[in-house]
This record gives sequence, C-alpha cells and structure tokens, in this order.
Amino acid sequence: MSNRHITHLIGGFLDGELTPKKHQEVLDHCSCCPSCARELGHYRELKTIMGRIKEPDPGDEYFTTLSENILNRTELIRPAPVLDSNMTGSSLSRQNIYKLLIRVAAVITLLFISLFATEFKPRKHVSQAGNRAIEIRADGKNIAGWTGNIPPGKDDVNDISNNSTSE
Amino acid sequence: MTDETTRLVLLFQEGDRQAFAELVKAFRHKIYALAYRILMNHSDADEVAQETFVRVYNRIGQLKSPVRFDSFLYRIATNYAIDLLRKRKGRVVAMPDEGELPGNIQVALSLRVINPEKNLENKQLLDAIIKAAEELPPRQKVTLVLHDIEGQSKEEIARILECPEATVRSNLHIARSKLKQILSKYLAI
Repeated sequence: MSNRHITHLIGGFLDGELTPKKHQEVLDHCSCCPSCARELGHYRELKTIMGRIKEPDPGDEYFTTLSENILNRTELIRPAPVLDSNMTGSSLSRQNIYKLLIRVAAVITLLFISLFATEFKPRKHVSQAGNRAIEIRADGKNIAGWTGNIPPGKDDVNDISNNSTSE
Repeated sequence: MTDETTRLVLLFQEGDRQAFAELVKAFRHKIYALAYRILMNHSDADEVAQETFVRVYNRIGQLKSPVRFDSFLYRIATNYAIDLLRKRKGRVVAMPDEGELPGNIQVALSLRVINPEKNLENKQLLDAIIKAAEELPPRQKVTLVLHDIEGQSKEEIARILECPEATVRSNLHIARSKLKQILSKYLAI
C-alpha cells in the first residue's frame, strides 16, 4: 500500500466508478491514514446531505395552473417545423413542397421582371447631325427632355421613309 | 425514457397539441424540482418551468431523436436556469424558509433527525451548504445538482450541458471541494 494520499480517488470512490482494485486501495489507505479517512468521511457526508435536499411540494393545484399557463402561452404559437426526416416523413415532404413552390414562384417572378425590362428598355438613337445621343421610346417620342428641332440625320431619314411607306 | 414518452414526442412533432399537453403533465414535476434545486426559489423555479415548456414547444423541430427528449428538455431547463443564476449574481437571494414561502409551499429538507438539537444543527449546516452552493459558478452548481441531487450520470450531464465528460468531472470535483470546506468547518466545531 502506497503512502500517497488518495484524495484524487475520492470522487470516483463515492460515485462507484473505481475498479475493484482501486476501491480496495482507497479503503486500505484510509484504514491507516486519518487525514484521508476524514476527507473521505466529509465528502461522504456532503453527498448524503446533498441527496437529501428536496424541492418543496407546491401542490396539485399549482401544477394544474402551471400546465394551463404553458398551454395558454403556446396556443397562439405555430408549431415548429420538424427537421427529422426519419421520424416525420409527412411533415418533411410538406416542407419540401413549400420550398419547391417558393422556388417556382421566384423563377416566375424573375421571368416577368426580365420580360418587362426588355419590353420597356429605351433604345438609343444617335442623331448624326446634332452629334448627340437622344433617347427615344419605341413609339419615337423623345424621353430625354430635349424639345428642340433636330436636323434629321441619315438614319432618321431612313426611319421616316420607312415609316411613311409602312403607313 | 419510456416508450410512451417517445410516442408522445412523435405525435407532438406531427403537430398533436394534446400530446404536448401530456408531455407537460408527465415532466412538469421533474422540471420544477430541478429548477427549484438549482435556484432554491419558488418564483424562479416557476418561471423556469413555464419557459422551458414554451421553448420545447417552439424548438421541438430541432429534436432529431425523440428518444433523447429528456436530455433535450433538461438542456433547455438548465440553460434557462443558468441564465437566471447569472442574472441573479449580485442580487441577494433569501434562503428558503418555511414561514416565508407562499401557500402550502414548504421546504422539505428531509434530514435525518436524531433529536431537536441535532435537527437545528443540521438545518444550520444545510443552510450554510445551500448558501455556499449559491456562490458556485452556475455551471458548477448545475453539475452538482444534476449529479448529487438528481442522480444523473456524468455522461448524461455532459449531454445536457453539451460539454466533455472531463469538464463534468472537473466541475463536480471543484464544486464538491468548495462545499466540503464549509462542511469541514462545521464538523470541526
């Protein structure tokens, strides 16, 4: 039996976690070491006291009220979605459907945005004579705020002639 | 955990509110007791009990394994209790006293009573230990309560507190050492 104190083994001894050999080692040591025996006794007593601390009994009425309060507080809360696919397949598939619907809606929205953006995109018209860019809409109206007369350039002449022929 | 609890958890995860009510009924005593043992105070224990179940309701989707429901529940309860302990630091908390507790709430400290003098001595010792436990850092205190009062294994406590088992051992050892010093003083008288 070693003369080294066994305080480091006391926790394991109290919790029954030591091997039978170590357990016996603690007992043997304590039989001849008053210091370790006292230490073990105090820890033992402490564990016993802690084990005796009981909560008060607030009574059945309190627990009924507690349940009611909890249920009232959760009444308006939407239950959380379940993440575990193994246990709740139906919930998960519903969740997947929602995700799919959101993706489809996002794609449709993007398509609409790109379609309208193309439809109303202003095209640039370069006047040769004035040597300045004027934005005109598809219907030919000036949207750049410039209201002066522009001498028709080569392209303009072609556009006018095309328009007149088509009319 | 019982099969019945697992069944209720599964039903609850599918949206059955009645199953949730049954789970509250099954665990409300345990959670109240745990909270009381950590906080030593009825109103805080009540707050922890209520908030724990509301959080369970909100977070049940995060529980991947229904057989681990009790760890999940205890984790939520202990985390909330630890938050309260941290908030309470610096605030003076009265020792529970039978005369001051509301209604029929009484502290049932079932110490071994040999005679009235011994009873008083035990009560003083217990008060001193409870007071010393109040001074422990929250996680040490919770570890001590879960292990020495609730009787949870170190493995389970590690799961509840989401820390390594070595940390549980270390916290338990430190907490016990501090309380043992108080006890030693009393026993030395």
